[in-house]
Amino acid sequence: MNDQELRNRFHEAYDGDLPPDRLDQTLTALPERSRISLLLSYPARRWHLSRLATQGFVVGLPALAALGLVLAIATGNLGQHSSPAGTGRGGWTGYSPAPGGPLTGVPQDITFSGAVTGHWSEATVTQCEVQAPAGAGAADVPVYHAFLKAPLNGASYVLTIGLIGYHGPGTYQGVPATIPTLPRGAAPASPHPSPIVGPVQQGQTWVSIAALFVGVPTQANALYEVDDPTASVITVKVGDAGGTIDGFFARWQPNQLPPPSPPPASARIHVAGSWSCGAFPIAPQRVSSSLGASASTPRRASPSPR
Amino acid sequence: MAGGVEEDCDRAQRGDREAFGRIMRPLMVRSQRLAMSLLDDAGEAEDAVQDATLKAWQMLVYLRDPGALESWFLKIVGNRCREVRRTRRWTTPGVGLGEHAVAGIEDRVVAGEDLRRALASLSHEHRLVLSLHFYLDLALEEVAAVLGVPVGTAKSRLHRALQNVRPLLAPGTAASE
Repeated sequence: MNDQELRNRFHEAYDGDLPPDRLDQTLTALPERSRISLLLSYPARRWHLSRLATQGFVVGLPALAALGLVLAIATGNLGQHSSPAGTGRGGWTGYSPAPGGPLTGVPQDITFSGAVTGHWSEATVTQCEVQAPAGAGAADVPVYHAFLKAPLNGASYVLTIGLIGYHGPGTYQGVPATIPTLPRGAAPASPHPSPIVGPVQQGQTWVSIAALFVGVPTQANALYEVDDPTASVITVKVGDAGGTIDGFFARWQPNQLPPPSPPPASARIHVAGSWSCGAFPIAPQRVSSSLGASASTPRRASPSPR
Repeated sequence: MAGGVEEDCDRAQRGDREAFGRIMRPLMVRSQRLAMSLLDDAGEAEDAVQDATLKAWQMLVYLRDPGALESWFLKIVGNRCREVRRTRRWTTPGVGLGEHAVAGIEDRVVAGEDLRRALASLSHEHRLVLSLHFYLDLALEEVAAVLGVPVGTAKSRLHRALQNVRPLLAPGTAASE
């Protein structure tokens, strides 16, 4: 095979599969370089394009050395309906085309404000959501995932991610579903609501996440890990195979607490076995009672140091 | 008004997003091709290019020579793809992210399947150098710039990669799974 034949072979092999250009979406979500930013994007490829537009938003926090920060969220296209008022899901406004209408809309900016203080217990919830189409069923949602990208700027943060499940026709539970951190490659034991959490630190690339839903039989999985000690960006994918996700929120918290002890690796939440909270900055209230104490689910964490 | 690449690069380094978009847009097709040939998965390639774009935005201030933008960015893409491949083993099997793998099965009936399989058996370095030279049509000097190695090293690496891949593509030779 000569060089030209090899070139041709490359084009035959890959040209037909080139992914879509996501540059415009990426540009919309570019973080300020001095800020923590959060990008959520819904891969349209996993949905019928006619049903869901690619979505994204950015949460920017000014340098987290300072406290009392303002979040600015720029959002891309949003889902088919906005969050109903009074559901307690907080802080949501956005583009809401008529049901059945086009799902591509003009991206608009949404701004939230919230003070972020040094401890979880004092933190104002800074919540943001992006919605999936109403009524999307398991068969329609093979997978959902999102990306969180956070320039860490050498600091240490705690990342909280939550999902809001769709629990029966027209009924939003408004309950943040669960994302326990898991050992690498582990699959969650069963759908349990549980909080979330884990430290996100420069050089401590651990993130493994599963998305579980309250009361919704679903296959949830740990989907992805970032393993780049030099990364200035942490990427987290949250996935659910066979459920419905209506909302997604995430927030960052500067890690103001003492350094983890025992070391982070041993402080991970393990699906099978006990969960040694250690000095993880997980406030007790973040660890909901719904965390079962079964052999295959994490135990309630001990109170974090204050 | 858009300026030249150097002017746009300078603006982008100072935080001008539109300028950043202008300098990045011409790089998208090549970067997508590179990611696709390295990962053989459209979804992962899409993610990798986006990750690389964000990283480029973060790191652009360190780019000294705007003329080296493409090789600089392709290097980021290549590194990102290597990271993705490295972390694949941690992905829980059968979690739906394999959607593209399913699509890939259909794709494999088309021409190029043998190359895909052959490339899959190569190291990241060999796959990268082959993709850069034969798919992105970069000259050896450009390949060397992306790899961050001397031209001679790039040439020898390409040679070794060809030695590895050609037997797998020979007529009548089934590429190893």
